[in-house]
Amino acid sequence: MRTKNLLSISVLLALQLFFLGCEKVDDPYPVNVGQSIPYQGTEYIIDTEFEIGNTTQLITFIDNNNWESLTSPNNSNQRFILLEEFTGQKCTFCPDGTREIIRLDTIFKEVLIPVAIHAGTFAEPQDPSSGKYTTDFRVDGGHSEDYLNQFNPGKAFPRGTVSRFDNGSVSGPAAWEGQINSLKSESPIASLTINNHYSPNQNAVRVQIDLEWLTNTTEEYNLQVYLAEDHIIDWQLDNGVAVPNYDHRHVLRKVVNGTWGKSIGQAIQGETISIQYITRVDADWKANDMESIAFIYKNDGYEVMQANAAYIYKP
Amino acid sequence: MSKKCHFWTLLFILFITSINANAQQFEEMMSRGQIKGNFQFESQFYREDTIIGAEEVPERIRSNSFLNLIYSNGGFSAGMRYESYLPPLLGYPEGYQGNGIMYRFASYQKDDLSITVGNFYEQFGTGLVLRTYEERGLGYDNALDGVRLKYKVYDGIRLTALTGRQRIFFDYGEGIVRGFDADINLNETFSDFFEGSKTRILLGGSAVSKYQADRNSQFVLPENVATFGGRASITRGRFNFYAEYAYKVNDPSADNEFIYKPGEALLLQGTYSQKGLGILVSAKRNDNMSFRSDRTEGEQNLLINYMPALTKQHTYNLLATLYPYATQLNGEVAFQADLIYKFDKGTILGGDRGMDIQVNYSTANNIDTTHLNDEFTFRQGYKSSYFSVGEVYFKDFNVQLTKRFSSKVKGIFTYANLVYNQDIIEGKPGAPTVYADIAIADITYRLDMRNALRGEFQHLSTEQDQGDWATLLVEYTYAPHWFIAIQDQYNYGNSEKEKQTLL
Repeated sequence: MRTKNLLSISVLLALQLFFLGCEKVDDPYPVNVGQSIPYQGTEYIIDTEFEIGNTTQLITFIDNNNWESLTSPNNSNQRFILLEEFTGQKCTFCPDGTREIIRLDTIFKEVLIPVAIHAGTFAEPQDPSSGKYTTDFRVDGGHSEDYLNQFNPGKAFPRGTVSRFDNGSVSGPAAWEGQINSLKSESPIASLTINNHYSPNQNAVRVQIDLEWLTNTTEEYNLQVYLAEDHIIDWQLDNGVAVPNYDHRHVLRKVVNGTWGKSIGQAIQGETISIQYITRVDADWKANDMESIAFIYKNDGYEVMQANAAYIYKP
Repeated sequence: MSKKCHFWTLLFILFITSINANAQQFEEMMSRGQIKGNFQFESQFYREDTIIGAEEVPERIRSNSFLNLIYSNGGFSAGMRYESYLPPLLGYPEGYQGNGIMYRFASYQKDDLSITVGNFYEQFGTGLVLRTYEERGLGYDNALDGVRLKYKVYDGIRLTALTGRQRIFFDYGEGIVRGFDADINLNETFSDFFEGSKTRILLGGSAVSKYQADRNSQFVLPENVATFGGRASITRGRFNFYAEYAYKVNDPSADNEFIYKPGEALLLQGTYSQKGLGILVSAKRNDNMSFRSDRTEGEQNLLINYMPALTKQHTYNLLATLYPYATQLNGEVAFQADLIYKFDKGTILGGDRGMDIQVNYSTANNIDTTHLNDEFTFRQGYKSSYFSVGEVYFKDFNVQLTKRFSSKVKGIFTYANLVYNQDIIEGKPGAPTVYADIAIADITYRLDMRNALRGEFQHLSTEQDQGDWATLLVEYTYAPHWFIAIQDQYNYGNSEKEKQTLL
């Protein structure tokens, strides 16, 4: 009997070691959704909805999807200009601003990066029963209103801020060309490149931003990333006429990294920064008309010192 | 008097009566007890020598001392070892500092059951999954402190279960080791079936698990890591075949740079022996098999298992000390062949008194690995093939002749050719591989039954490392307990003239 008992105990001990004394770890890295992930020299900042919390999941996500890639122009010798225009679908004179932007676009081409920020009362959608102006073009998160309050507190339309020059103060369309000409003649303090990788099946874009400082400064800078959609056909009040098939240009759709972006410190000549944002492109947005916009601005004074844009998808 | 007082009075009377009744038995039992022990004291005096890089030792004198005491009485035994390092001899791990008792145990054995508490040494199979032992000359001691049970369940079936923490200098490692081993001698267990059989079969199986808490923020570490092993020994007539395999689940550690690849080891050995002839052929492959009870430790600290080296353990100074091989725990493929043959008297080579020859060849290579470039994902590290080998770590071809020329003169003549990868074995990146030829003549002249003189003449020739060496040793023996020896080493081939010194 004693032998039998001891044999049973021994077998139990052995089984314990087999089944309890052993742990197989499938993923070596702690999962912490929301953390930024450093990988091969790039800092990955990923929307939490992807539930990616470590390098294993990140690389699996990248490897398991097909990505179409598009690159921005080279701006290592040219300061690119951001024009943030405040507008609204019920703003009757705003299309005049848009027409001016289209004109400037033909002049400055890739150097000019326009963004239409729908904000204020003119941007508030009407009740669906009205049959027009029902689309809400304001971005989620209230960022449009934040920008309006900061840069256009007088709520005058159409107004725009050219590279947030002069503490981001806005001006009317007539002043934009002169300001662009003035700013674009200055040497860039950094080159900023965007490489967009878009996955149609995931409706996701990986916005890779590579920045190289071209000079030394003691200023602190922030990096800001937007998604904008071009050619949205919808209602617009245009000089008193309600136009149902108006072509809305460069509409700000998403502020990817918070209202004021990410701090990137001071400019140190020769140093590089690589950041990749992985974010969702809404299924209702036309991916082939979407572009990502990235710019760096002075923490103190808001002036945008370099910018760039790239389409995310061209099937 | 209360009832309570009555109870205590009664208990006291019973106790006294019991003592009186058992005093004689107790005295008799104690008289059977035995105490055994031994004492060792080793001391060295140091002098600074800038030429050979021997730094000044502030204490001038260092010493190691050991006292073992074991009391045994019937099935009971208890013992301890007092150790003193004031401070440790140079070359010893510096972790040994001071005095103390780090080895003490009590053990009881009755019939087929044995229980040990305290410190103990244990080995499962050849040690691929567990071996704790003391190698005092190297300052190695990974004794377990815990509990061990051994039990013979049935004829030929022996079980061992243990748990404990391992010694590291004057402390214990953080991890807890748990182990289980079963040995089955089929000839004993199934004696009817094997009756009269010339074949003897021994089987064994082991499981060892360690626990260490995960406090690492960078990785998710397995807190419980297990190693499993199986072994078989088949003997028939003059042949023996032994095979042992061990598998370790993911065990990221400082040794393997925190990869999660499983480890495995395979040992195969075949022997043949008859009068005057012995042949041994063995092969071993171990891949990521470092297994310690503290994943952050290195060197020889807190190793749970043991990878036997398939190389000859030389004893002669120049062969044993300058380029000795150390098993590479992270990966190694090794082979060894050993032939011992005795030329009988009256043969051409045997002459009047016969002659022994021993030929040995061993190699050790890295395993052949392909990097997986997955350090940011699954951290498997690499993959490796069983059927190819990587760079050479070590090669040793040696021949030894033992010849008695007369009743007074005996000679042992050794030649060895070594290939020694300094870069890997000594961890010297970029150091060239050493190719060395060593010749040794060991002559003993017996003056009479008590007195003998022995001389060793050794020469090592190499173009790498420190160049050529010669050693001369003269030894006088006064049998059976005393000998005195004087030895000198001369690095006359050193390319740096000032290092061509006599040691």
